[in-house]
Order: sequence, then C-alpha cells, then structure tokens
Amino acid sequence: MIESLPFILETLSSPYNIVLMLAGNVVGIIFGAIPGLSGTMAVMLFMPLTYTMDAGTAIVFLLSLWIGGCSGAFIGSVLLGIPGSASAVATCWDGYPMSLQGKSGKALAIGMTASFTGTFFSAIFGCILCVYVADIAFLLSAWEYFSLCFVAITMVIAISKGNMFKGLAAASLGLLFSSVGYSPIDAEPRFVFDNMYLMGGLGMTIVLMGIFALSRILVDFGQGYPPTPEVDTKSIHGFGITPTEVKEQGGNIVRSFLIGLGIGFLPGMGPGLSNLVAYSSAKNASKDPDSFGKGNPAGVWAPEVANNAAIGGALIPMAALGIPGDSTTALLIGALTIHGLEMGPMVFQNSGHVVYLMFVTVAVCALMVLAMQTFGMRLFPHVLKIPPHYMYPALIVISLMSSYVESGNLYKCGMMLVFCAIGVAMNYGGLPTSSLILAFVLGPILEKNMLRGFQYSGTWTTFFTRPVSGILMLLGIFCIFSPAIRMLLDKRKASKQQ
Amino acid sequence: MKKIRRDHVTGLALIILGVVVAVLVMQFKKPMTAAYPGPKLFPLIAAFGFVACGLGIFIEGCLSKKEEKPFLSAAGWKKVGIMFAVLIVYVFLMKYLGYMLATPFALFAFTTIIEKGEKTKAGLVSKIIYSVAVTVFIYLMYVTAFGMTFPSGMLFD
Repeated sequence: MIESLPFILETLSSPYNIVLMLAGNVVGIIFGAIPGLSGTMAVMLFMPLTYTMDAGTAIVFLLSLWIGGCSGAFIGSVLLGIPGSASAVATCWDGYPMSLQGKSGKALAIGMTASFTGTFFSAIFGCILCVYVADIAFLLSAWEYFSLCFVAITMVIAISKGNMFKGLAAASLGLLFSSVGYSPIDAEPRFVFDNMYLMGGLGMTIVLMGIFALSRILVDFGQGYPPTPEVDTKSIHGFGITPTEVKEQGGNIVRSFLIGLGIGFLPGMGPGLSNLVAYSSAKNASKDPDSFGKGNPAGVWAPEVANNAAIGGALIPMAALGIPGDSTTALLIGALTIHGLEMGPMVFQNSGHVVYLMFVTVAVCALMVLAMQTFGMRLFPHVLKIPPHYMYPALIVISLMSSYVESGNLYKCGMMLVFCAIGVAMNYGGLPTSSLILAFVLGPILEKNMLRGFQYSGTWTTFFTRPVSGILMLLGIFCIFSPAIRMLLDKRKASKQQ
Repeated sequence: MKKIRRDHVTGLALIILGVVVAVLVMQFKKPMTAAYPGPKLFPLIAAFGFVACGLGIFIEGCLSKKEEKPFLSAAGWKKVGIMFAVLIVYVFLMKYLGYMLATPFALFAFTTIIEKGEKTKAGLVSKIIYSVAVTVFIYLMYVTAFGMTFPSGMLFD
C-alpha cells in the first residue's frame, strides 16, 4: 500500500482527474436519482469515453459515476416514493412517509450520511481484506475458478424475481452471446457466419447497452413515462440531523454495514439484496417494529448504509478473484480488461497500485458526494423534474455513439439495435437482465477454466472430487433449485396453516 | 379456447432457439469427447438451457391461473415500433450524412415522438435549440474532449 501512495496521490491530485471525478459524481447522482436510470447505466453509457484515457484516469471516472449513482438512488425513494434503482427499494418504505410528514429534509440528510458511512468505511475494510482474499485465491486452480464463477451466476438466478426457469434462460442467453467468436484454447470460430465483425466476439457495450439501456428506454416509452412529479421543497432546510440522532442509530448502522459488506462480497449479490436484508433485520431488532413503514428514520438508515457498504464488499471479489460482485463490477472488469488490467489473484503482483487506487478513489468519492449532496440538497427536486422528452433522446444518442466509438463502425450500431429488440423480447418474457449480464461477462472465464480443468485431469469428475470445487459446485446446484425448493416449502406451510 | 399467455410464447421461442443453437453447434469441426469437450460443450449447455427452461416456462404458463397483465397495449406497441423505426433510419442517415447532420434531425424526431403523450409540450423553437445544442455538446464531449471519432458520412468522405 505504502509504495502505491505516490501513484495514488499523483492520480487523484491531477486537475483533469479531479474535474472528471466531480463530473462523474454529478452525472452519477442524477442517474441514480431518476427512477428508471441507475449508476450502472451511467457506467455503461460513459464507459467508451474511457477508452482513450490511461488506466488510472479511467478507474477514477468510472468509479465516480458508480459511487454517485449508488449514493443518489435514495433521492427518488425519499421525494417520490419511487426508488431510483433496485438498491433503494427499501428506502421508500420509510423515506417517503417521512416526506409526507414534512420531514423530507431530515430523510435526505439521513440518506446522505448513511450513504457516506456505508461507502467510505466499506472502502477502508475492502482495502484491508482484499490482500488476504487474494492470498487465499492463489490456492485456487482451474476447477475452483470454474466452480466459483458457476456459483456467482447461479446465486443471481436464485434471487432473480419470477422463477428459476426465467433466470436460467437469461443466463443461457448470456452464455450463448459470450460464445460468439473464436473459442478459448481451441480457437474454433463459433456463430460467426463468415462475418468479420463477429470474429472478435460481441462487444460488451453493444450487448449490454442494447439489452439493458436502449430496450429499457423503449419499453418505458411504450408503457408511458410517469408524469413529471410535484415535490415538496419547503421542509428542506439546514442539514436535517444532529450528531445525537446519528449516535442513537449506532447499532443499526454497524449491523447494516456488516450486512452490506458481507452481501456485497458474495459473488453475484449486491446492493439490490443488501438493502432489503438490512431493512428487515433493523425492523426485527427494533423495540417498535410497528413504526416501520410509517416514517421511522431507522428504516432509512439501514438500507442506505447497507446498499453503499456493498460497494466495498463487491470490489473485494472483483479485484482479488476477478469475479464480479454485481452487474456494475462486471462492467468494471470488462472496462479494465480493455486497459490491459486483468483482475484476479495476480493483480497485486502485476498492478497492486491500481487496486489500492480503486479503494482510495471510492473513499474520496464518498467524501465528494457527501459535500455535493449537502450543498445541493435543494437542487434534488429539480433533477427529478427533467421532462422525459428532453432526457431520453439525449440518452438514446449517447447509447448509439458509445457503441460506435467502441468499434469505429456503424455496423455495430445496427447490431446494438438487434440487441435492443432482444431486450424488448426479454422484457416481454420477464427474463431478468442481471443473470444475462453476469453470465455474459463471466462466460469466457467460466469456459476457459472448464476447458483447462478437462485438459489437466481428462475427466469431469474432478470438478466434484476436489473439496473446495465440489462444495462450490453443490452450492451452485442448490442455488439453481432453491427457488423451486422455496416454493414447495411455502406451499407446504400454507397447506399446514389451512 | 384457452388464451395464449406470454409464457407460452416465451417458452416456445426458447425451445426453437435451443434447437437452432444445437443444430449450429453440431456443425463445429472439433469433436466432443468425455476427456475433452472442446468448443461444443459450452454452447450446448446454453442450448440445453433454452430447451429445458422453455419447456418449464411453457408448462408453468399452462398451469398458472393468475390473470396476466398485458405487457404493452396496442398503442404502446405502436409507439415502440415507431421509435424503433426512427432508430433504424437514424443509423442509416448517419452512414450517409454523418453524425453532425443526422443527429439534430433524429433528436428532433425523438423529442416530438416522446412529448406526444405528455402534458407539458416543448415549443418548436425549444426543440430545435435542444436538438442542435445536444448534438454539439455530445460531439464536443466525445470528439474534442476525449479524442474519439464520430461517423463523418459516406457522402462527405
């Protein structure tokens, strides 16, 4: 860490990087605050801008977008009762009732402070823990890596809304898309149809932007955008909370932080789950659980600390194992690969300074976002009032141009429209995009390690006979069937109650 | 007659996709053996996933008694279709006219289409100013600030 300090200080003190960090935070907060957009979408849209940057600058910019997006998600939840993203669903349950009671200033202040606490301290913990996880990761070989990636994908399927068939179908689609181009190890062309644009595989921007961003814009348009909201700004004055109020929430904050950090660390999980778990545990631990859902400040603290603590947690498996903790870290792994940085246990040997830069950037961004949100509290309602006819056309053009700059030809823009149509079809069928993203990003790692495993041992049984790999494989298989098991248990419970 | 549900359509589409993928995989040259599955196994897993999940989704659709919410109304599908058509035209326009000429028209079209269903309307002048300003802003951000290249158009190459 110490030997990386000059590099970190040089990168973070560069005026160009400071401007990018500020811009990234602002854009991230706006994307996080507006329902339908998210920090993940901001990272996706602006990722191609980083292709001409050096690795350090790219990391600073992408992380600032992500941190801004995660921290801004509570704004929509508190002021509109509509979460800015899945990570702030639970924040609505008490944040919005607080606003209706004329306490929107207080709810916003709690959201800001909780976001800062979660992000800042998770970065510190992540920075310390990452080295130890990387040391353990050295003991893993191809079989264990395959199993770990397998678990990451299946965990997302296990928590995907709807049913396991839909989660699995989306993951299969991700695997199919990742198979296009030359296969790893054997270099056999697959699904290329003699088309030179497909030889190198499908670009991440084209697939994800088409399916995740452009199709979402189209479907939302078809379903009708919600009317521009009226927001109460009268109760926003001062900072809103006192140190005593923060102290009173000490236990809740620590518990939610640990939940967020732990869930963020699990491959495939992230802020979307941590905020729900933290909220329910805060409710269970409360002396007055009936007050939850009616404007209890503890119901804002818990999800906001947890979803932001998941950031540091998600960065640990991303850096130390090369396995994403959630959709955004999956994108970051892809972006860093373009800059020649391969995440995984060797990262500390090859580019440890970059890993430390990531954690320090997260901590600095947390401070910046807190300052911006404190001084810009009265501006939040205006962000939510941007009319869709001005916001979405600009996003459509940015999406298309992002796919153009990735490849330098309009053919890929056309392909992006194909993926947009696939995204609309997925929305129609209710297939979750999160499973697809993870399977698409992890697909090449999964296949490479699977084939290596076969090359070394010549049999599939090794995946089950090696202890760590075997346990992970069984866990993965359990995750696939867990929605069905849960459904059966619920049915049995319901029939017993009758 | 029982109404066709979204799950039926999704299930059938996935089964067909799975079969198509499996047929394509069989044409790969490298053989698949128990000792080394090669490049065929991974896409075959995907194909199997499509068929198995497609069947599961289809059967679930048959068994489900829940009332299904419509995904989009007829008017909604029309809106999505129009927007998609404009996107295709925009990409073609960019091919011939380049980014700088095609984008203001596309932005103007998108703004006009989206504002139709809204209470607050943007005036003609505001839409023109918006379209030109956003075009220039995106160009400055990508090309001037970050050194990227944008399509210049076949007619001007």
